[in-house]
Amino acid sequence: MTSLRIKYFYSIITILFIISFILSIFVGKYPLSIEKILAGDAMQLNVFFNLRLSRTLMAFLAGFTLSLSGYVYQTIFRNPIASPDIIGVSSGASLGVAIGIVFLSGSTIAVISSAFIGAMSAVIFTIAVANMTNKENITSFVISGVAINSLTSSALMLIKYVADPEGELARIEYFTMGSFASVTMDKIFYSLPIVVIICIIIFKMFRLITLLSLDYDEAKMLGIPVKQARNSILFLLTIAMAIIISITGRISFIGLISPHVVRLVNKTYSVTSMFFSSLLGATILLFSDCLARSLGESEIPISVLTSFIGAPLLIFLVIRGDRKC
Amino acid sequence: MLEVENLYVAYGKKTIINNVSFSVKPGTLCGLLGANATGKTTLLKTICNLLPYEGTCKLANADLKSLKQRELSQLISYIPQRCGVNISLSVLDVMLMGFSPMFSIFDTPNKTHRQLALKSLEIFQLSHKAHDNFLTLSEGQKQLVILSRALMQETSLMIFDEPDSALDFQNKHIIMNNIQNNITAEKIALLTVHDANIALKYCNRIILLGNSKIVADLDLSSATSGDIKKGFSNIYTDIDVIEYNGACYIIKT
Repeated sequence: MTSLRIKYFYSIITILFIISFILSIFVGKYPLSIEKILAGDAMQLNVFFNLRLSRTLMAFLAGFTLSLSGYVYQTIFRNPIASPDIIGVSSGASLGVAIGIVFLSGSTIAVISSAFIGAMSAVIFTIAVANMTNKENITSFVISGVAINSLTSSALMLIKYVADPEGELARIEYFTMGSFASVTMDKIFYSLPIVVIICIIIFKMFRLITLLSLDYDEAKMLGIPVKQARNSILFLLTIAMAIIISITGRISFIGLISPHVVRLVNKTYSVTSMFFSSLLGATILLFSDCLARSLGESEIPISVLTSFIGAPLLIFLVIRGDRKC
Repeated sequence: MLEVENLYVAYGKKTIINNVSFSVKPGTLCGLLGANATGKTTLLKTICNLLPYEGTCKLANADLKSLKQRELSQLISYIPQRCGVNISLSVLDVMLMGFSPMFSIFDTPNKTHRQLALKSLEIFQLSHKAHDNFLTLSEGQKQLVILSRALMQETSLMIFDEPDSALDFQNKHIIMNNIQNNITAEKIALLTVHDANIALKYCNRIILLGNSKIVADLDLSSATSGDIKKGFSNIYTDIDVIEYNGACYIIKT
């Protein structure tokens, strides 16, 4: 693959992103027109700012951050199929939501807070268990992640079992399928600055992230306090993902698929490929959300679409990649 | 001066290094030889503070155990037995990792660092590979890149664990020649090799390990062929030392 082809690929991602962003603002049940918005039509402005722009910004932010997280996880865990779910972010958030709905007031703020706390607790627990082992390899992370995922899943099943099937159970299930329908400008206002700052820090730490992909001894002898650096990066990403998942619900596949797609074109890990992988994630999620809003009478949950788009795409690209080898 | 005193290392109940003491003066290329599983790699890792140990390791009077990771890596460059690069990175990026001990978290390499890295790659005629994927290089080329990175770091102690393991005859000599040329009056290199003749040709001191202890310590500036045979007989059986053009070679009888 020549560098020129990589440049073309990145240009296509950029163009698709711009198209998806514009499309996301204008697609929906209520038609928007640029002339009316510019003319100051109150209804049009209300829909534009409070529904479409907030929703578009959140889809962008979610896709970008989840893909960025996927890219970093795949680098640190040296595994092309690693995703944020590996250490329990999503399952922790789902358990948090279930607790918020069934045992707390069930109000929006209670659900968002408990989802955030659930995600953070699951990851902190995973990191703590992994750090208790003497072994300095990533396998201990994966194993403790599997254990935490199983624990949170069984706790979630138990809560679902006791939940009111008419109201509570439906809300829990709806969360696990993800949606941007409840995104408002307020939520954007509180979440965007923190998530953007974390993303910038992660990009600035790219050199450190690649050093963490080395074997433990080599990374340490290059001056890296491996445990502290790895935990700090995972912790920062978890904050960003927990904020997003607590607002949007669980979004499948984005964190896994876009880094994989970018690396099939450009195998080398770099800050540029990390950026375009994140941008591709945002693009896929923006297109998926457009489809979610326009395919049926009522909105389709976002994870249904991301999985439907992501899984076959991944299979296609893996087969294509293998044939090329 | 590297000073190792009363070093004791164990994996669980198994003793790997038992009360080992030695010191190495600056300007020395010191080879560490011994049969498999005699603790050579463990000794190197211990000096790098990568394993828990009893005893003391000092470099220029600084206790290596008390140093922070970054301070330690500014003093010691280390090449492990197996290259630890696991993901696709450009050769240049792998080289630039060598500046890491000098950087704080958010620092990134600049143009000068890149030029230095390319210059170091040129030592082994690898600068044309700078933008290639490191993982696509042959094992020998990978070894050469990692070695150029270690030499580029200009540390006072260089520790190499079998730097010649993946190399052909020609590259083995190129690599050892370069290590030898980098040993200035202030630097020390400590390396493990399996080829005794390579060690005899390039090192000025050889420490032989056996049964978790030092079994012989040869200063090659003064050692006779008899001393060499006596020393190596502690770790190898049925050997003889022959002299050719003023140099000693070990052969299997």
